[in-house]
Amino acid sequence: MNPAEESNSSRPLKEVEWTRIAKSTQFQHLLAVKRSFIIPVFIFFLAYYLLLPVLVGYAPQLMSIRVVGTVTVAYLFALSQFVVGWTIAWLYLRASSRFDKLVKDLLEHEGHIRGER
Amino acid sequence: MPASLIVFFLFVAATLGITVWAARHSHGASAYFAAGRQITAWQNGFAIAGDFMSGAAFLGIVGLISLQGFDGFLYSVGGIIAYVTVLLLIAEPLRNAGKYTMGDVLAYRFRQRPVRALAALSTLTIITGYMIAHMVSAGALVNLLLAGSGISYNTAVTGFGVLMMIYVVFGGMLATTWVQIVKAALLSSCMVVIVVLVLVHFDFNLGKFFLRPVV
Repeated sequence: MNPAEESNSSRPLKEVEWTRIAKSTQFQHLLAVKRSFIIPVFIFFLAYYLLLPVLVGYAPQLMSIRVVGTVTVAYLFALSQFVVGWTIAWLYLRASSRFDKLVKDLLEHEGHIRGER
Repeated sequence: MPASLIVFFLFVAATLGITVWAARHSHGASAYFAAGRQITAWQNGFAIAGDFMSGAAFLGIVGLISLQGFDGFLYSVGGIIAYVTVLLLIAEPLRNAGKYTMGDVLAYRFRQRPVRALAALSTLTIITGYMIAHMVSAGALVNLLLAGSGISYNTAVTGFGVLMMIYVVFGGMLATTWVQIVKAALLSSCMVVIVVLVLVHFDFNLGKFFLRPVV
């Protein structure tokens, strides 16, 4: 059930081949694309979340301003966390199909090289 | 027999039915640990949501908000933080690894024995704290909702433990996934009904609702 085992080749990858693929520009590009999405998104999300307890703790006057009727800034900010969470999930869905395409290209490329031997 | 007891036994019978069905359809490690890899993303999403809609979420967060107000609400925001963290830092790198558990993935790269021992130890440590809280809430819930049914707190806690074990041991991932999907659907629809009922009580006026606990 390992994807490596499921690929079109019947023999398992050798250690040398793993190292070669890991060093290839295609694989390094895939890693760079993943990193450039995951790291900034996660840092933004962590900062956005931590801002909530920090502001509630240190700026209670700002947080208790009433925006609509009895609904305060704090409630709206806390609810916005859910919206941001869903948005990130949606962004990730889009990004992951990009990752999958790069993986597919890489596997096809490798299958081509190994098929020639 | 009170209505709540009938609903309770119907739910137990339905989930045991799912387990029997799953046990008949599961053969081999892939079927047991990964439901034969036939669960779609949507089904899995509902199952994970069902995991979160547990005693802790329903009794704990409602209780925290009623006792602490906004501070309790802050706690519930933590749930979605956990989802995003798990999605970006754990699920994404593990997604295409083709392994069953996190221990499998770690053991693939490192020395097997110490990694597996540590994975098992951390799992058991977390599960112990998590399970005790859930068993207590299950027992408390039975005391509250099925009062007068003759089911004691101890019987309820033991009974729930045995039921959970039957789901997992006999049904594997297929049964637990479907039990969680049914649970997520039931709890979500109940929650919508409760929200509407509460809003009816406050004439659909959010302002009135927010002021109520203060008055």
